[in-house]
Amino acid sequence: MENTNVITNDGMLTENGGMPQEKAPKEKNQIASRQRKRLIFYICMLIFPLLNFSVFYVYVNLDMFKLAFMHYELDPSGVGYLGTFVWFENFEYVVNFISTRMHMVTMSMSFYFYTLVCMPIAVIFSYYIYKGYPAANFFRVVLYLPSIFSGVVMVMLYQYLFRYVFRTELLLGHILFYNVWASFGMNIIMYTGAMCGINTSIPESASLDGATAIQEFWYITIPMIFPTIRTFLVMGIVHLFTNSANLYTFYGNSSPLRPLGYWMTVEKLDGSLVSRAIDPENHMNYPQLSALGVIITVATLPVTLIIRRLLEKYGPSED
Amino acid sequence: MDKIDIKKLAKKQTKSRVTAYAIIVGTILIIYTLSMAYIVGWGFMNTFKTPTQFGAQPAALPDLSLFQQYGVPGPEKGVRYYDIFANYKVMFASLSYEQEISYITGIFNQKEVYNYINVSGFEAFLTFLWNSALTMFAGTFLPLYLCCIMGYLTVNYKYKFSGFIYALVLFTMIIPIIGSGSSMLNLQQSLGIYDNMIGFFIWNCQFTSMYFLIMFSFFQGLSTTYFEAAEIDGASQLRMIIAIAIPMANTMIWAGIVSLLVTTWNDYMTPLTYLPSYPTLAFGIFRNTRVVKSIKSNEPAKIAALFVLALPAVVFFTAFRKKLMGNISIGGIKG
Repeated sequence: MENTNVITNDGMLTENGGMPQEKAPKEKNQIASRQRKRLIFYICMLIFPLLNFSVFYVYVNLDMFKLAFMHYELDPSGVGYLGTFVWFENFEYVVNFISTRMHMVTMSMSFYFYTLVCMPIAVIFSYYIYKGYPAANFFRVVLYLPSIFSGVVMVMLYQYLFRYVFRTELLLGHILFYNVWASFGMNIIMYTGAMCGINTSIPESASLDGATAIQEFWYITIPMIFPTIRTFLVMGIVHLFTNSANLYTFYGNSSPLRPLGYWMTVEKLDGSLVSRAIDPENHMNYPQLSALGVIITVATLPVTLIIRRLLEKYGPSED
Repeated sequence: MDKIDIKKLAKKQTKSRVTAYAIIVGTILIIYTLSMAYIVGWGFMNTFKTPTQFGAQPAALPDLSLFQQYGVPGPEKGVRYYDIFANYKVMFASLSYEQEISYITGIFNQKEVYNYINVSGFEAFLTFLWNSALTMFAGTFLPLYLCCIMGYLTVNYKYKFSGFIYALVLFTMIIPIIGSGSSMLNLQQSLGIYDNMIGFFIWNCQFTSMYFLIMFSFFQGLSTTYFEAAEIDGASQLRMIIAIAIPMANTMIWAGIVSLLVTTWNDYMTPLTYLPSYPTLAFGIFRNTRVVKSIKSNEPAKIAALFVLALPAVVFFTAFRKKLMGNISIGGIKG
């Protein structure tokens, strides 16, 4: 019988799967050397990604928190900035600023409306593609097209086509309609992808047991893709106040509609560490924007976690 | 079963699928398809109109009698004839950006700009294309290959720290931290990597994305026999990554690259924010159609610019359609 030696995870040598034998010191050294080299290689490979993460995620977010408590002014010498710690002054400014502009907040929340409306519609339409109804493959290609064209292309064509009906009082409706129309295809593709991950034996056995298409959709498909639905609903809440709804593409920095996400984008692009010389009371500098970011994070985090928990607990499950 | 029975069965199956649901949903999808086709077709048709014709009859077909055949003068005297590709030529001529002439100084490599020169026309177009290629490379190849390597390390090196890395990625994806854009800009300016292509490359080397989870689940499902056999044969750790792990994950990597390439090609906001001196084609067209005088009031030329931007994406989509629309799955991850 061929002699087989097996090295276990802790480096012990066993023969033919028998009890571990004490190995020779030379072999022990070789194993230890190999494990040490493995560890050194592991550490070396992780240095750059972790350093990058530390700087561009950890430091940036910590800096955002720190920046929210600072006030900067131009150094009298003309080079650089002087920063002073101002406790919650920036937060006070932000709260006063937003409280006089609550329409920005309510407008941001109204854009979540289209997520809630689009989601069930997209799921229903995804089922059509998933079940291979007539021309499903053709529609799948067409639905993917809006994501191929740049947002710049789609927005400008839409503006040209509907420019005669872009009246101010209908503007919000137009923007909402555009966002629903442009994202419709991609939502369907995502849910179809999730449905295609369902084990085919499950709906087949349901079909053999006499389940109708609606029953299969409601009792099998929805529960099995619910993690995907839940992810999209939660991500919608995460981006509630940062969603600019393509307004920058429509209008640049002069949109008549100014939800919070759009306004933050414009201020970030045009802002600096110090307050503007012209019209400072209608703008925010970087420390104030950071304070706004902290407030939004603190407000959104518990809501996100609670909604996620509720959906996990009370939403349909595979069981 | 003979042919007649098969045909009858197919016909019966087709008939059973023509339900009210299929009719309603199918009809709406047809309307959606027509709206897409109309808007794209209308736009393309208008790239062959003169500005006057576009203003007078935006919905009409182009009056091709106004266009001069190549090398042949028009038949009517006193009538101005146009080159059929005039709008595309105007668009190319209007592409422009200001290139800064700068030098590096100071211990922190502060950049000091002392002049701007205006670059326009075909040279600007080539510059936009080159910048688009660089940003696409930075936004796709770097993060995806890094996600692949990190996924491999986290699965095959069973140290506790690997579990920590996995939890870290989940944390960054679940916990919303909002408003760090200004902090990021401030940091990049302090480090001297703002508006710097190398800095942009470094910044994009991040592994905390859903592609890490995809690669993680891929390597979890992959047999370790390949790596054990290679190790026994004397392959180094680095060799195993380069010669085994990455080639085996290539299908997954390229599916991700193909998907991300279209996104980064169309993205104008990231270059606008972090690389204003390196305008991509999307950024260049977005800005020029709003700023440059020769094209700002020439609607057909602006639409022609949009189609020039869309063309590579459409070609790319046509070539890689199956990969783009394939399903990438994240297995075994709950919540």
